[in-house]
Amino acid sequence: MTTTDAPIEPTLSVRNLTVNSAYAELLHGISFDIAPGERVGLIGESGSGKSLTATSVMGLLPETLAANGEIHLAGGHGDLVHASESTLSQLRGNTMAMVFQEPMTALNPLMKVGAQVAEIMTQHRTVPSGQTAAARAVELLAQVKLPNPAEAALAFPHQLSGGQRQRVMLAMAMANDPQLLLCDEPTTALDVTVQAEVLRLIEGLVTERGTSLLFITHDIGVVAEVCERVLVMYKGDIVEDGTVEQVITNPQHPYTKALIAASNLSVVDERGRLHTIATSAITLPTAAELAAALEEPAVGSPAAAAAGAAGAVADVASADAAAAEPAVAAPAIASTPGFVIPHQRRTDPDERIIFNEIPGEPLIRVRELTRQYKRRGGGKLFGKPPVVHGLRGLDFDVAKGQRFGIVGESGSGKSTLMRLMCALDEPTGGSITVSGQELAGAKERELRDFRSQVQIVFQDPMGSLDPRMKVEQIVAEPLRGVSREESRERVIAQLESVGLDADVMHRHPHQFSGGQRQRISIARALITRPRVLVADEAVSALDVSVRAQVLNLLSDLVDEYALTLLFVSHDLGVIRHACDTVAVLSDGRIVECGPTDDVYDNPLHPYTQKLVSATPSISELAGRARS
Amino acid sequence: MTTTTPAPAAPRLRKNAIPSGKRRNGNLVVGIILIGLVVFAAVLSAFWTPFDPEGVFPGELLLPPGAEHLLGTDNFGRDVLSSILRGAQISLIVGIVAVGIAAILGVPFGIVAGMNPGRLDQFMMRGNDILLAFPALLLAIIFGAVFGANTTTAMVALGIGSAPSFASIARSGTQQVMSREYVQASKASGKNGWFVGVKHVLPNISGILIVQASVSFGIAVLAEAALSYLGLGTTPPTPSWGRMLQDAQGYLYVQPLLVVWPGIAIAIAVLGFNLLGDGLRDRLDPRMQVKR
Repeated sequence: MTTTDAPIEPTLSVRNLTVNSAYAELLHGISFDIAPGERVGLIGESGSGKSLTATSVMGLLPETLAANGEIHLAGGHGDLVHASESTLSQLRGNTMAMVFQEPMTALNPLMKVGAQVAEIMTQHRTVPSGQTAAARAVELLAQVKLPNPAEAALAFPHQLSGGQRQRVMLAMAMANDPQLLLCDEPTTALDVTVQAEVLRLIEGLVTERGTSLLFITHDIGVVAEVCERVLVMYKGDIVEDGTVEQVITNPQHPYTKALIAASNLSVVDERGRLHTIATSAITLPTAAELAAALEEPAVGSPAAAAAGAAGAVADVASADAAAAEPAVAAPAIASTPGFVIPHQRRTDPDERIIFNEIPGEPLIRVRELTRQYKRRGGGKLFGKPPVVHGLRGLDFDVAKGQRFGIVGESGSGKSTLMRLMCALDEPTGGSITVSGQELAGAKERELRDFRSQVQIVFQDPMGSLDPRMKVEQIVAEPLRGVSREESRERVIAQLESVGLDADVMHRHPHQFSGGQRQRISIARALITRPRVLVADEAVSALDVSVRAQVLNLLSDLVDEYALTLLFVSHDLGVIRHACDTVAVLSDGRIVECGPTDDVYDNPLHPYTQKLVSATPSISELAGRARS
Repeated sequence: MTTTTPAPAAPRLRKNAIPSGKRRNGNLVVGIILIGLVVFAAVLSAFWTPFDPEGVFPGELLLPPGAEHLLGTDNFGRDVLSSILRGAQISLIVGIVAVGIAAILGVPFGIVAGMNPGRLDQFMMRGNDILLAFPALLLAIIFGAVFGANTTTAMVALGIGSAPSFASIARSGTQQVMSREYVQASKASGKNGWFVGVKHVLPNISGILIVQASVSFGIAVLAEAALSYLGLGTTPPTPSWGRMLQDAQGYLYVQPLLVVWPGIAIAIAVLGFNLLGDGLRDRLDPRMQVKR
């Protein structure tokens, strides 16, 4: 037995754990305990060492890294850091279990999921026979709330959805009733509504069985949903340790304060900009200020104040007006004075509603837009291939200068819409007009003008920059018919406008961090002085602090260049901050559209309501903690 | 017989994707040295060889290595060192020309197919499959029969024969690159297919193409040897490493060293090109560069 002075032996005890690579120390001697049944969140940005901590506990560090220190599990299994592989494999999946981020790669694609769950039990001989293991596997699948567990057990991983696969992973992890469950970003790859269900399930399972939980995530909202205690990691050290309420409402360490400020997309400064790690390091908002800001989200900019007031008006309006009647809301659009964005919802799936209809000539006009895909390999040999609906008839307008957000989960058709808006794909029906140019059926040479007017910023900051090109070539790419000197001058000016020095021009993309790469992407998009900027999940791959910086930059540039912004995202918080109008996309249709604050505060459509309530909100939590 | 059909070789995947800086440079340096050696021999032999490589000395058959003939003589009394030096010319030319023809035909074909998914791609790739099913050796025999058997027809036939594997590799690489967002961004900014193909696709598939080229070079050198043996490649008395190897077979028990010298020469050339290919690939990839 490992003896501690504490009356109860902790389930997991980590002492002075360091991890070294050949070049540097990655973990600088961290220590923490997890009591039996305690739910602990481990939060930090990429590179902070949170995943290294979990892999060290599991003994799954890559061979190039060396761990030192002590890790003890309750029950006297000895020091795990120096334990043999055979001891560790006895413990893994039995005494401690782990759930990974990507359920598709963590499951064997050629094995039925029931068999995979059963295998965990037969391997550790926790069940008498293979038959009982199979029966118990079905039981477990039922406990993780898979519909039709007996049938699901016979399915292969690819036949299940992402959320279902993560449930199977959870069933495997819980199969042998481990003392300790480690979750490494288990819901990051899932949609918000699915995430909420999986989080509830994890919390339920561990509470019911008294399992200790170490939950790793970058999302402080998720930690708040599941955990009681939170450890904050920063550059290989644990910088803060406390209950969730303490840490969120009264963070002690400057990094935690900055992280929380940056996570909170509803708190803005007097210019309507988010707090970033850099700015908030100088002027950290106190807890009281934070709370005050939370109470009055409209404090920030006049526009937000107007929107807030509009929300209140719409509140009353929607209460007594019939649901099909568009509610009246306020914020006027600069180019069309006097016009107010209506808040509309869909009641009948097949009804044709023109959302955000703008009189006259709007910048973007979309009518009855459909996109169908032929499924390959499906159907009969000579029959027509089955059709998959990407978009089923969209109607909306976007005015000049509007910040139009499109929110939806995976499969909602938002990426299809984005591709159509940039003329990277052809619609199967309907029309898209951008400043008078019809995109449907247009030839590439007719689109020349359009191409310089509409630019795009992609999600993946690595994949959107050609690794073989230098920054100068990348940023200058959209320019045409420009001399070398002028091109260079414009590239320098554009790089400066996104906060990068001119000397980065001669470097390759891999030499930059994610946030810097996204700045380069933005510079490339703006160099032709476009009128419309399409952002496709532009900040989803970034760390919280960097996300705030890039969002602020986008806001600044949209103001500076008088851009019309089309922001596509799955993240409601990001859309709420970046956009004045939002359209909610579900299953290829817009189900609700209106002023952002209005839609979020008073969602009219059931789907929007589900989406809004599923989003972990840090401001809500802080509010809960205060009351 | 050595295998002479250039199989649709997949690019060699290396397990250690990021080798240490030292080893990476090592590959390139050793590759350059080995190829430099072959080039030096080829150039030198154009001006000077110890003896006339085609000169027959009936009195000096199958001599062991000695002071006069450093590597000995063959069954006709020809000086082996001289033949090896002169043979470097043929091997280099055959390798470079065959790989060049294959790459010039195959790579644009593959890129065009990869950039135009759908009917055109299907049509082009089925045509490619038909050519791929044709053994390069058979192609060389047909070419030899029609145009006359000599080094040039052998080179062209080998080049055409290995073009389909270049096309397949270029196409699959292109498909990967086309799915990347920087290609989407490029299209969204109004760049045409030509620009995307030349500026984005080609540089990003150059790594796999270089590896394929270095493998094909080895295959071409060996195939030339086989063709020469069949009387379809280099015609006697011009010395060729491949034919030297084949000739020496008959005297394996009398003078086994005769097999060793051309064997070493071929090994040096093939190894040199493989190392050069690997080294170049790493060198040209900005991500592999050591941070300064």
